[in-house]
Amino acid sequence: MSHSYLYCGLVIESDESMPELQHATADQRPQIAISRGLVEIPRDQDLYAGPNWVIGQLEAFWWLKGVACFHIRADRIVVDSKSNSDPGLVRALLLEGPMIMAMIYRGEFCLRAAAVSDGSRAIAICGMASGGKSTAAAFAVTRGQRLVSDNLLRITFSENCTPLAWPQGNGALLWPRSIALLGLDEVPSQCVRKELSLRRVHLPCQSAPVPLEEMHLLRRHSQIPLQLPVPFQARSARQTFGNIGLLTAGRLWVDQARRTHEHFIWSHSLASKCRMQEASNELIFRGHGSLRKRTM
Amino acid sequence: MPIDPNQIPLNNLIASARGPFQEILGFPSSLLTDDESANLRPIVDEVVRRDWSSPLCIRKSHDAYTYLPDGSPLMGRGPNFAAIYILRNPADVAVSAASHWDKTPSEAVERLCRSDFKVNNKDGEIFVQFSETLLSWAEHAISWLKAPMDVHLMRYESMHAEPLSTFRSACEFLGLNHSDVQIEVAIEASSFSRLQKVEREVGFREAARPESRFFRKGVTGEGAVTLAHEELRKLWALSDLVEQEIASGSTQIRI
Repeated sequence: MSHSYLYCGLVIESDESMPELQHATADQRPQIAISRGLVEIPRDQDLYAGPNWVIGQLEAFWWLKGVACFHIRADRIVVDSKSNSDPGLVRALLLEGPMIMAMIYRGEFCLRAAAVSDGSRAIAICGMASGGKSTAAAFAVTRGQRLVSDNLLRITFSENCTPLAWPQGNGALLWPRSIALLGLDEVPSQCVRKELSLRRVHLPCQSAPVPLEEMHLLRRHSQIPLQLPVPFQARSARQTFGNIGLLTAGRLWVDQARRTHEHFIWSHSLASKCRMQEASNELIFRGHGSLRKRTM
Repeated sequence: MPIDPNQIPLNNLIASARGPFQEILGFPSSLLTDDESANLRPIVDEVVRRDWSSPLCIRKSHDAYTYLPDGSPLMGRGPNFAAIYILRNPADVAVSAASHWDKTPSEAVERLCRSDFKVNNKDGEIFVQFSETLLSWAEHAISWLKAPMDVHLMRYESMHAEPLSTFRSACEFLGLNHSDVQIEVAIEASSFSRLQKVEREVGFREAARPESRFFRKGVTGEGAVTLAHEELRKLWALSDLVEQEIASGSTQIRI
């Protein structure tokens, strides 16, 4: 039986259930097909090899040793997982490197960013890995915003060159301390894998793409709430362009997939429309009134 | 022009930072256990080393020099990797660490004496850095001084007493051909007083807590006048162990 889901605004069709994702509607044509099969990593000299990936102009291979291998094209991903691999981990990995590669092959790019929206505009929250982006986004959701993305924010441009933020669609990955801090204990969530206390929390989500208005760069891992404000600084377009390059998901693969030109245009367009600002938790939630928790 | 300490580039991170792992391997390390991540860190470090844009890639680390279950080192080996180890009087380390960790000096001493001491290692949460195994103060020092790579020993006290010659030796170890004038300019740019001034005026993003100071005092000898006699006795014993190793010639120190 085939299932259709939405991930980063793309319709993916999978042989297997993916409870992390929201279902696509029947009229939405699948764009990426996920199937199971045997994957053999090639030793082709023309492919660019990394520590756990091999990438060419039209196809790539990505793996986590002992867990799963993936064969990736723009419209198809074949999954070859070990019989004893945790299915939840395999799916979580599929939604990372392999999907990022598939999107790059499609000429689509994502920021490593969480994002929230009030329904009419989105704010991207960028920063260091495990630096509090998901927690900051979840905090905003507890105060009336909707979750757009947890860690992958696909951005396209409308006809009038407005950057559009697409819902990622797989909830927010939060650790127990963040869940407790934010009072999200009663919100439905699922375990990602049994060895970890990390949970996928199903927060109220944005359902449609929304204009991206601001990008905030979290420069420190802050406890919530902050006691002192961090000075506000707007980065120049040049600095924003540089950071966009560094924060692009799969940036090491762009050149090898021969998408350098598209990525340059994308980065330039985003930097010119949407300046990146230094931010603290306090600044991100400015304008949201009292810091008292509101009932979701 | 001195670098703003609050604007250190995103691509120049501590060795335990999770960011390069995610960039290079293509997925967040948060999906793995600490042990699974540790097994992959050397692979990531090798890619960072190989692809660094300049011949010399310098990263800082808090980790002790430890080995993975398969016997390979977590932090690389020679000839591609080398280390500058900054050794400081453990009594002064305890006082400084107490402030950074928001602990009492006694609690800091207890941590420095523990062989199982780790940081960034709390159940139920995650940090921007991987869990770092520190071991005891002495075990940490000896692990690096005996690591299978060239090691240059810099004493914190020498950085204070003889900064030019101390940093000149470090430059020579790194193969950097800087004049004394250039070295002195760098020493001034990274001086404690300058960094304290920056932190007073605009803050420092690596401060442990908003109300704490990262650049606290930067002095030598504070531990001897702050800690209790029994605490000092424990730390002197650790210090003796390290000095004996250094004197024995069994370390990898290349002066």
